[in-house]
Amino acid sequence: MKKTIVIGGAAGEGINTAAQFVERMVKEKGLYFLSYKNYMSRVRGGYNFTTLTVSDVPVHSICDEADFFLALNEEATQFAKLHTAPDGLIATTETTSESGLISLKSEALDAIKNKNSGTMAGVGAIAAYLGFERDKLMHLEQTKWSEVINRQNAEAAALGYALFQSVEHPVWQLKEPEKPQIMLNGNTAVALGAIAAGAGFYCAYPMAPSTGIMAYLMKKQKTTHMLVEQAEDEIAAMMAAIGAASNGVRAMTGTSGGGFSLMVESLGFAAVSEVPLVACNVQRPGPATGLPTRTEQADLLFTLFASQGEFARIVLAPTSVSDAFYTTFRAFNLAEKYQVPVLILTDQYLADSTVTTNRFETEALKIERYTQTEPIEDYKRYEFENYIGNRKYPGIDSQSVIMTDSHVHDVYGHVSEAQDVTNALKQKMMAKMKMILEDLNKPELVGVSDYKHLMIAWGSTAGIVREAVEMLNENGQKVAALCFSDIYPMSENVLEAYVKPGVTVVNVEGNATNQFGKLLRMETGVKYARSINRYDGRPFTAKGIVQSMEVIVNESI
Amino acid sequence: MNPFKLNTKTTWCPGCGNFGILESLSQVLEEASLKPQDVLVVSGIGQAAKLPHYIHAHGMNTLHGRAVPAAMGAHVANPALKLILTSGDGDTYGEGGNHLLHGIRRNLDIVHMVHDNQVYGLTKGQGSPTTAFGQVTRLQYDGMKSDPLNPMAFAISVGCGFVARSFSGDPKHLKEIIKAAMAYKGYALIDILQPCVSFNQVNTFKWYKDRVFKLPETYDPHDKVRAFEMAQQFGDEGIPIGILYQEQKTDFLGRFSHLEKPLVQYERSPKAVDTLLDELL
Repeated sequence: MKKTIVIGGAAGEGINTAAQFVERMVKEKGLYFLSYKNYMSRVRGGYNFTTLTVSDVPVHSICDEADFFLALNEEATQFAKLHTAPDGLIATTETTSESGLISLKSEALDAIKNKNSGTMAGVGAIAAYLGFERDKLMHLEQTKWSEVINRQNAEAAALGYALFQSVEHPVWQLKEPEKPQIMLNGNTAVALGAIAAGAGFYCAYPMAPSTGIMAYLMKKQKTTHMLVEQAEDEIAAMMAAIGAASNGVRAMTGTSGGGFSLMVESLGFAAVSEVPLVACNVQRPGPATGLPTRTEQADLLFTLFASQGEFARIVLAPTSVSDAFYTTFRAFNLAEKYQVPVLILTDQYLADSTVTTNRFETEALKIERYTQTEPIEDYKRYEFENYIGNRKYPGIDSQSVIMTDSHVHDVYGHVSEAQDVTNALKQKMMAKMKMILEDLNKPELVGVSDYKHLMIAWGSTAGIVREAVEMLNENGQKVAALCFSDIYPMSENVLEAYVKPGVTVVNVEGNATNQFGKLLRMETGVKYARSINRYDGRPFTAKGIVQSMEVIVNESI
Repeated sequence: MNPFKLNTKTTWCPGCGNFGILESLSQVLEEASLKPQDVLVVSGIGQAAKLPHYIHAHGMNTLHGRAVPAAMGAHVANPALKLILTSGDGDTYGEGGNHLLHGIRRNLDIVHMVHDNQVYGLTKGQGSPTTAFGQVTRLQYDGMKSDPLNPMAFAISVGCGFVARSFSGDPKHLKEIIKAAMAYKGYALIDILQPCVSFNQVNTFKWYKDRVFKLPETYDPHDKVRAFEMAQQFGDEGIPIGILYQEQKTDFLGRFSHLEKPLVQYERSPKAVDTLLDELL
């Protein structure tokens, strides 16, 4: 069972506030939801909306069609008519007698004399629509606002709730989940993953949609004993993270594509100097300024190939908010084990989606530093072989002297142009890639085992595809999906067990050029037969993928 | 035997000012009773930036222009290490100009030695941010078209708390200044005038020798306006060397009262997120 609530209006009309109230009520009820902000890159005005899909199972995808649309102005009301399910309901804060629209306006509401009373009445209406008890509205008072405003908000919400109880709407049965739920978005999950991994330093330059990672870490730096610094630019951000990481502190930076473009040279420095760096690229549509507050998966090949020369790197793309936590945690262990940069690739959809999800388990997590604390005679920091677990940094013992160098370097970290050293370092990089492969997670196959169509998806799209597969299987379609979270390095055999004769491979990606499809072809020789792409700055929806897949499946019959 | 000395063959030209700077730095570090394990020398890229390879201490030879942010990361990770930053005028004032500005704003506790020979060495003779207006270089055959940067006036104006100038040809003076910079808690910028024997035929050893003069003992480095005035003097009217400006203020790490010890010394556990997860329940 799934219900989608949309709250639409102009920036500044209280969309976020209303969404947060609804999110808290849903969470308190113990239900799962995914809420996604669809906002323009501006502080006031425009048309913005938040989509909130509520369910009794974890949610990965939003729905384009609202079951309940709360329209906060005239423009939003027009949008509501286009984007509400045929049996859905539209509530508007405007005065209207138009059939199919429910006006929240009343004399009693006007009498409250608060500019947000309409919005709050909408919150009450949503609570009634979702079948929540009236007392769920009580905690609307527990906010940062004054007592007067709290009382007005509660009164307005109560009016909306009462009004809506007289409106006929479907009643739905919800199972409450067994485990306690936490509520957070993808950026916070990445930040928590870094804290769990013991990161001591985070340095970044503000850039939508990545800033939330820094904001959370900054807010928590006192209790986590971290130092979080806003750099003067992204080059400084990554260089500072490298400086800390090469001196024994787990360090991270985060940005979006434009900032990552500036970090490119530094990334190569981290790789050649074998510094365990973790960096997160929260993708948004490019090129250049692109669409700052929207989503895309078009930085994959850029992230994979960024920086001159050839070197070892790891690219991970979490498929859900929960995965973002565990993957970020794992990134730090991988970085220190192999002494390589690890790049986490998320996107605006994942970063800005707020969900309820099962509480993260920290019991099984183990920080592994792979350091050598015993003094060693004639210590070689950059052995070409057997270096795992032998890492030292300045100050780790009283004897070692450690050099970090951006050149091709010998085993001590000093510049060398010798042919054997140059070859050995290159071979070391290539050998690292092979070893790393053993440590990465295989893709996950979801759906029926006798599939005829195999969808391929990575990152946040994989989460959405998972839901699409469930829907397709319920409709009797023999479809499965291979979901990639660990992207690179990639095994040339990765598809062997899945792509069998008679299986049509359908590549599903949030970009126009099928970048992951190309990567698969490059590494495995397997070419996808069909593709589903979205590149309008909006996330895929499970329903949209189902529709596209049905066309593809029907064509091949 | 000075523990900071290495028997490495350098790639610097015979007669290069870098030799004197390396020698002075090594001596100061030894005289301060430091061990190579106590010191981290960070650099960017350039002739001067090769120095970490020629001294026995922890080193970071980073990217062109990027030594300052790398040093910031290193310093916050482990402030127990005495941090020396050595880089050239192109590296520091050109490619790294923005980082210098913000490094000063943060008041990182580092000694930043700029080997200023008013020309690019590693890339063979192009104009640098401190090359005089109109000066002919191997690239700018028709003379420099930009005005030179005044690094001392710049540093004073953006709030640097220790602004000094010295000369590689006067090792005694240079050592004194490096010592004072090491004793200073905060961003200590030393612009070290240094001849480039291969690519700068104008600002030669003699050219500097004839012009530099020590600031008189009566000079008060705490007078910011006077310091700014003094910083204007460069060229035929003489070049003052010494501590132009000094002001004590809280250094970067001193501004983070929540850290009780160096970041590198914290024992960390995944359990740290448990209370944060509780907040999200």
